[in-house]
Amino acid sequence: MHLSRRGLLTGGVVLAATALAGCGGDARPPVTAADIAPPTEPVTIDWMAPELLTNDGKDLRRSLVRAFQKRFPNITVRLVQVPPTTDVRRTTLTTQIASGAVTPDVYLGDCAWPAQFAHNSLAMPLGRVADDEEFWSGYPEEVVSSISYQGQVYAFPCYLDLAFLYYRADLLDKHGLEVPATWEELRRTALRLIDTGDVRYGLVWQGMSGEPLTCNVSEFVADAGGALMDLRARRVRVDSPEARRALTFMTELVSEGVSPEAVGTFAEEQTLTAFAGGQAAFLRNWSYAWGSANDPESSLVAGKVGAVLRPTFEGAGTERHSTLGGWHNFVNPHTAHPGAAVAFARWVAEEEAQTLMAATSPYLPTLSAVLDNPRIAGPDKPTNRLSADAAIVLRPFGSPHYPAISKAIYTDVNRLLVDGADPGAVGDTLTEMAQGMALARDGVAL
Amino acid sequence: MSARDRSLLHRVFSPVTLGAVVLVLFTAMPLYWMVVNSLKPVTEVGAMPPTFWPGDITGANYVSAFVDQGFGRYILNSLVVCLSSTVVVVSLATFAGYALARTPMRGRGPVMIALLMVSVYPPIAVLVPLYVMARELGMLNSYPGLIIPYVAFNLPFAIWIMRNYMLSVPGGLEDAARVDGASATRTVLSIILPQVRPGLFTAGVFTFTATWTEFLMALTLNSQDAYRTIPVGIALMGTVFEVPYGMIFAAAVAVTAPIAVLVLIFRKSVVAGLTAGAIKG
Amino acid sequence: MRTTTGKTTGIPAQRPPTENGWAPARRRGRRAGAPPRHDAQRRRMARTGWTYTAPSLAVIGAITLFPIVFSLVLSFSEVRIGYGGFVVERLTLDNYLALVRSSDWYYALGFTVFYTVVTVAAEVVLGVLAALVMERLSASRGWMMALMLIPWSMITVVSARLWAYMYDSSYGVITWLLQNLFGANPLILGTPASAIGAMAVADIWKTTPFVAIIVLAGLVMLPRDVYESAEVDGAGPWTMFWRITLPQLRPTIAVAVLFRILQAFGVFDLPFVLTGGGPGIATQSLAVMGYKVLFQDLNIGAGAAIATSTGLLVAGACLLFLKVFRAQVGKEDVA
Repeated sequence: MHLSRRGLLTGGVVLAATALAGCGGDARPPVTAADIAPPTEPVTIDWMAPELLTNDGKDLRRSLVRAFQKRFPNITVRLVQVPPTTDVRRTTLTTQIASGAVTPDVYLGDCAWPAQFAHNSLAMPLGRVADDEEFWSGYPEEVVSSISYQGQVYAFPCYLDLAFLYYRADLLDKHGLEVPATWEELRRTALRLIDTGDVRYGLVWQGMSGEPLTCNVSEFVADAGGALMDLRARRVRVDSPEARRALTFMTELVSEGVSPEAVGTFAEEQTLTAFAGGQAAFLRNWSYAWGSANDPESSLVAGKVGAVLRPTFEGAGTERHSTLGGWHNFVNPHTAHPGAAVAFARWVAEEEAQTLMAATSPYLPTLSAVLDNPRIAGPDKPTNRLSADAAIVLRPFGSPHYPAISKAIYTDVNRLLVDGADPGAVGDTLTEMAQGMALARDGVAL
Repeated sequence: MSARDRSLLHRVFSPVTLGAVVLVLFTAMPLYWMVVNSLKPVTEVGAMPPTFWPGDITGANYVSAFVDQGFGRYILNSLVVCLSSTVVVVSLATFAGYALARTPMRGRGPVMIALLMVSVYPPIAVLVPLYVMARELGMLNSYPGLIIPYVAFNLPFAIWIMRNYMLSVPGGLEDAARVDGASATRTVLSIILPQVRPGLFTAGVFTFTATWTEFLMALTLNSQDAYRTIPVGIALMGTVFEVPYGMIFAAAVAVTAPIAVLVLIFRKSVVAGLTAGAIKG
Repeated sequence: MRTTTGKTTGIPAQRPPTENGWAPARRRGRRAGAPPRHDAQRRRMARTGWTYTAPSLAVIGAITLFPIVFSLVLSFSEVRIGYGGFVVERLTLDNYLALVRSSDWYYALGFTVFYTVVTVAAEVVLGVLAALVMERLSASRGWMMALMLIPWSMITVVSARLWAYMYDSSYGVITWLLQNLFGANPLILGTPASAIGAMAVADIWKTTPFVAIIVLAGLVMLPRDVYESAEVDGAGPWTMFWRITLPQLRPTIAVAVLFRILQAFGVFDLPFVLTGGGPGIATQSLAVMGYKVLFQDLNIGAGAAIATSTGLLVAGACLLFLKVFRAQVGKEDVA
């Protein structure tokens, strides 16, 4: 029995309460992508996506929709605006789709959502499309793996996001310093730059109690050669020397003054403001930061910024890690126009849209053919050029309980950072974190 | 009150007057900061040390809020929804409050408690069922679709307020009117209502502000552009990584200033409404 | 009839109630609910009472009953989201057991109670002070009212952003002031104690006007004659405040406190925007925790259990409060 259905509304409340016991589930989605062809008659679909800006401040969503409608003149795509806050978006979607709403037909969602949304029937399994080996081989393996759950694909990739190390090229030049290749080197360089008085902070990154911190932790742990969990997000692997090295280093960044104590309150916005305001020598941030840090209207360091892939630890290999970020298009399982919805979501993932996006916006394309083609994005944007060489790290979002797992990670690490940043407390934090993650994985953590 | 007592009162309350100055400063400073920063260009909003007056005054934030974000529409929606809700709530609450305070109806206690119980249930938990109801009734993205739940969730408090003020009206008034042969409704409207003006005002102001600031329900039930209210419009500003403080403050000033100006223009009536015209001293 | 109601728009016309010549002296102070002379009239009045209350109860019942029972049932269910909506696998107490086993829940509960007590206490003291001051102002009362109404009518999401901006550790004006006045280098939102304090200040700033305005409205309705006779007896202003004003204000203050408790216990927007519940879980209120469990983890049953238990706890607190204030809140049996 389904609580959200008309039956309960019209039926008595008491009746519903007693009838609830022993209700069974349903396995089949109302609509699947199997055997769905684009419609021939005119239809209108709703696409829920927050504003995406092009390089010149226009709305990327509109140019995508215009290009799509040239190819599919009978499908009208209406934009449904939604707050940019990830949590608020998830609330809106859960409320609507869990109660069977047919709109939005397509929605842009976080790359961390597929397993959770698949598990909770909030996204359409893409059936036949998923078996299309050739189609999926066009995307980075990590991206395909991140949108798959139990052998099914649940989203079409839209754009990729990766983390970079941004640095003050002018200051490094002034003092004859190299762009650091290892974290140990970065620590020395940053402390020297602080000593010269040119900057207040060495490195700024996201340590706020929230998802961005989980991203930072997973990257540092990967740099040290470890992982938070195994690929299928079953085994917790943080009680390891690698994780210890990573967390110890993060804590020391704060305790030695390379990063400000305030890093425990920083999300992307605060770190960029500190860097763009000329207060920090190094910044860890996503690809959008290249444009923002070089925008003379909002940045005091425009034109003085360089970007490289994140450093790694000494003796831990040469791979430069970035956690996978980015957004995908999911299809509402209740959509009244599955053919049109799939056609649109799929088109955005394909070459024409990806090229348009790469050429006109700061977002990184996911289609490898476009991503690996520096000509499309223009040589002046190092982030596109660099991303092909990045070693992509997956946060454990293969688990349907990923948000709880992530919460266990960022809560404990944040506490470590703000609670005196004592490297001696790393061991206890890891033990506690491992327990919290295991409970979360089993779906019993609150 | 005699002159001696007046000065005595004054002496005793002078620390309070001092406190009032502190209170005014405490209330006004954050508002000042909001206004100043809504007039600054982006680089200055993030500057350290902060500038206490914009070095370079710009209206760009206001332009973005109204032109790019279409804020005018949201203001209209908020006014329609909040004013209607307030009028309905105050009207219903007046009669319910009167009944609960001044008639011998049975079960007044349980009703008051039941009203309280409705108010204690955390709104986040009722979002999903509310959405389902609105959808089944075809009331998503409409004015009544937001007004009706606003009325339902704000009535309990208004009833409590009205009942409380009704209690303090002397009991003889209605009896006298009844002797004159006036109907019960006429008695309430003509005799009781003028006596509880502070209550009406308080209940009205609180209902209005509660609906004016409500966010999650408005977002869930009226997400389409044509029916969006101000809090939803402000929440849409920015991108995933950037908080456009200047634009948010500009929008906030633009929606707050009219309220302040209205209160100032009508301050005599506001004060009178609040005090039922009782001038003391 | 209409012309009379027109007075509610605010033309100062009415004399203080006690001076109203219509009130026969022998009836002064008698409250409704006391038996009128005839049973028939009493029955008619009771019927009128229900007629007046029915529309309100109908609206409230129609809109709130279903959502609340729905959520209540979910809190006792093992539930997941299926393609047809919420699927209840079975009824269970596990959701509540998970709560009482969760240290985060105990923290959130403790924090919420502490936060409620501290902010409501501060707001009542400040609110009563503000009301006393405003009552004594004449010409500037309108200005003061306008000023007080602004924070209160400000959208919470915006005021939370405003305070977050002022507290910010790299460009916040409050941080800057503390650095320059005291040489401190504070991380206002970065340590648990200061984050809680900062959140309380933001809350007090926004909601003190709520208390102040309710109390002011109650204050101006106090009968004047009591003061006059007290004056004749030679009572000082302090005595008058403690012995006359405060006791008479109690029902008003009680209502203000009651609803502030409700609001403070459900505090959500402010921590959600200002701190996200952090640092760690330092400012995670029950409502924020419920939201995260419900909408981040999609743990529907447990989220509903948090909401329901919160509702029950507040209800309990309110009943207790009413019992203590029984004689003051109303002259009749409410609790």
